[in-house]
Amino acid sequence: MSANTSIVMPGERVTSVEDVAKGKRIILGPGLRRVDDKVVASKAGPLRHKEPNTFWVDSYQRRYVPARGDLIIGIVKARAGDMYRVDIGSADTASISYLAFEAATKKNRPDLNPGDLLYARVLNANADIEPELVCVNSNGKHGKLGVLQDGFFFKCSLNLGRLLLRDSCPALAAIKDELPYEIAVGVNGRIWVKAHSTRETVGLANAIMTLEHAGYAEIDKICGNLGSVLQA
Amino acid sequence: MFMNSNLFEPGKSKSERTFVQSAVKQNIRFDGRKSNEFRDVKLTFGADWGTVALSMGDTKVLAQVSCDIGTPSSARGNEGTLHLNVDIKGVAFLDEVQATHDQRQLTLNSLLERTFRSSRCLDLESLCIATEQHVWCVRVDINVLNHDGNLYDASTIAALAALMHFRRPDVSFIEDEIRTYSERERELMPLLFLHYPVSVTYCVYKSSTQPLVDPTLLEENAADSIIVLSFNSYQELCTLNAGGTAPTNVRTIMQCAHGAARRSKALVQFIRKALELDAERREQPMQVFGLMDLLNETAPKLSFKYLMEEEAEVDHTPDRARVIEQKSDVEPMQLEEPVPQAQMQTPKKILAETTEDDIAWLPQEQPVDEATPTAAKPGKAKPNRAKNKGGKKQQSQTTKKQNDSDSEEEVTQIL
Amino acid sequence: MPSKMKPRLSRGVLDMKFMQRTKAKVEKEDDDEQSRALYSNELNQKMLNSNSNFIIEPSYSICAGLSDGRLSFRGMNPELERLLELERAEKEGKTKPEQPTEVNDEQMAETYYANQATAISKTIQKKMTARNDINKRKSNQKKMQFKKPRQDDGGI
Repeated sequence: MSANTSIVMPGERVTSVEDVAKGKRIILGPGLRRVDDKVVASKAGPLRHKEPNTFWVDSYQRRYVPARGDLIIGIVKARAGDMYRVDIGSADTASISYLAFEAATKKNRPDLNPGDLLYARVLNANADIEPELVCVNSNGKHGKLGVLQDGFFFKCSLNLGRLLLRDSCPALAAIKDELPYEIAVGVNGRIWVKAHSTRETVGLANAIMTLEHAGYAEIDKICGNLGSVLQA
Repeated sequence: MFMNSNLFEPGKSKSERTFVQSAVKQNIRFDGRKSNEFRDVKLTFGADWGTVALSMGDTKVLAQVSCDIGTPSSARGNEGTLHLNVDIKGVAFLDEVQATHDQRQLTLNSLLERTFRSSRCLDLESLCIATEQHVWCVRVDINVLNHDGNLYDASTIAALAALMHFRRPDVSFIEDEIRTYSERERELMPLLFLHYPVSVTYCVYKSSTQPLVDPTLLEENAADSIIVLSFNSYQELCTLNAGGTAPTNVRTIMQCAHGAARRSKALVQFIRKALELDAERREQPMQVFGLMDLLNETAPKLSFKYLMEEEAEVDHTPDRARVIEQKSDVEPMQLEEPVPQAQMQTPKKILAETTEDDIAWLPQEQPVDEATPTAAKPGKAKPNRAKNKGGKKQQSQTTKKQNDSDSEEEVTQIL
Repeated sequence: MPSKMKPRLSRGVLDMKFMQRTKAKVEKEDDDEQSRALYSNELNQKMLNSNSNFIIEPSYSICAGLSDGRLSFRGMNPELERLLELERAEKEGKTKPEQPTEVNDEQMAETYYANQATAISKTIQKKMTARNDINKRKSNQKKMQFKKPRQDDGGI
């Protein structure tokens, strides 16, 4: 990631990306659009670049727009026929089939109730149809996906979710030094945490919430103080 | 700022609710408060009379009082009118169902109506210009800017502060002609109050006997029942709103009532102090802040904690009195207390009473206060009112007992 | 219209059992043509022919290379931690430039030679077993109290 990030505004032509695109194929992420040969920003925020050829805009957002392959946390809303309706924070509720769980058959249905939390993968995301989730991987195993039991759950901005999931993010490692815990971060801006005691879980949740408005630069500094936040 | 800082409502999933329940059991709150601890209340007064912005943690409310001259209702030709209007449209959550949103607005509106209108806190007769012809119509608009729980307290405090802050122009009515004097001609007049009510909200959980005061939205959504009590500064009960599914016994309600009575008194004191400070500031011409300052939070805030801490340092006697009060009140008084009521019964009752009697703003004084020296202290209570109260109280309580006997039985059975 | 010029299969033929694949193909062609006709005034030649240098990827997680958000630390969820460990090992294995060979070339050659010369190895083996047997017999003889093994003696 380059050190000097430029801020782009919606409608702005992003020539720096166009220049790169002349030489090779590039990947345009969220917040960037192609209009003929021009690249135009559709969201406001810092322009990010990942080697070798990926560009996207890291805009501050709370509303989740489903994208295929995302790992998200959803709240089961209702059962409808052979589907569950799941709230994932997008404009439309998502659906997940009874059969999209490990070892589920027509007879052996998973036992989910409204209010349950699911860590699931977005299988299908399209503007015109409702997103579809799945709780098994390609081998038919649940892997890391599935129902999240107990613990505490809260909602945050999409940026915080992404911030925590960067490879180089020091936050989770810093908390690890303080206490043993389990976490599920959905890129739809939802975080589920679980520690041994209630007090620890409260501290953990508060510690993560303090990162809400932190930028990439400040986060290291805050992580240094996390210990004191957790003590409180 | 005219939007919820959270797009999504907390407390919708099972793990949130069960977690809050277990945390309450262990006496842990997310913001580190104790179960009987309030968030700091901050008041900001605007440039206009009757404009108040209030924040309680992340809950933010803007109240604006306005008035104009209108015709009175035919039933009460010699009284002005008070209209309360709550607007929570700005804080609809994305995942909120329309029905709950409407419900929220209705509950809040009815609470305010009962707290201010049905309890007859304003001296409406003083708003009469010419009987059955012209009266002042006072209107309170409450805009909720951010919802993080306890909208009830936030809006009642804001409404009361705004009403107390408000000044109306003087008028004269000579030979069928109304003349309104501008601020330069005659000084503006404050509204006249009979008493000063504010509400205090408690959350009750099945998992814990200790009710939580001043709940955040998460705590509110996880609660089994919510109790809202309105008390005035004389520690008289104006409204009781107890809904939900948690079995609430008399003891819990009593406990809440005592806390609420004390809190209300302190809050009214705080508002008075804040008003004084605001008046001082208005003497200096450059110190008035407009609406933009209110919303940008550049205007100075008057914090409850800060102002009332000073108070505590100045005189320790009331504090000590309170302690005594607390100790003495626990047992012998319970019989005389009003029984827990079902949610919507109170307003009808009050309305019925108000038609009979002018001073019938639910005169159920805390019996404690009659027994302890503190009750005699607030000298502003008119003696004749206190006398009337005695007789009235018994009457109203007997009727209530009859009405609510069913609900009471239910409660005891559960327990 | 070019489709009119083309000879088309009749419906009756397409409904036959063995024509199902062709039927699907023909339907797809028709579909494509219809949609092309629908957008014909919006599509231009440039859009159809130019192959662009841009790939659109709407997911943040893929763009930014975010890791999976399900983590456990210090034994909170042992099952999950095992899974994470496995994944990490796999990742490390993948990132290494070349799998280190467990058997180097020389060893390979040796074993190969050994396999080739099975005959030799067999004789060696025979010798070995014979020697073993002698040893066995000797040990048997030492055990004075054991009188049975006549058969063994006869075998040799």
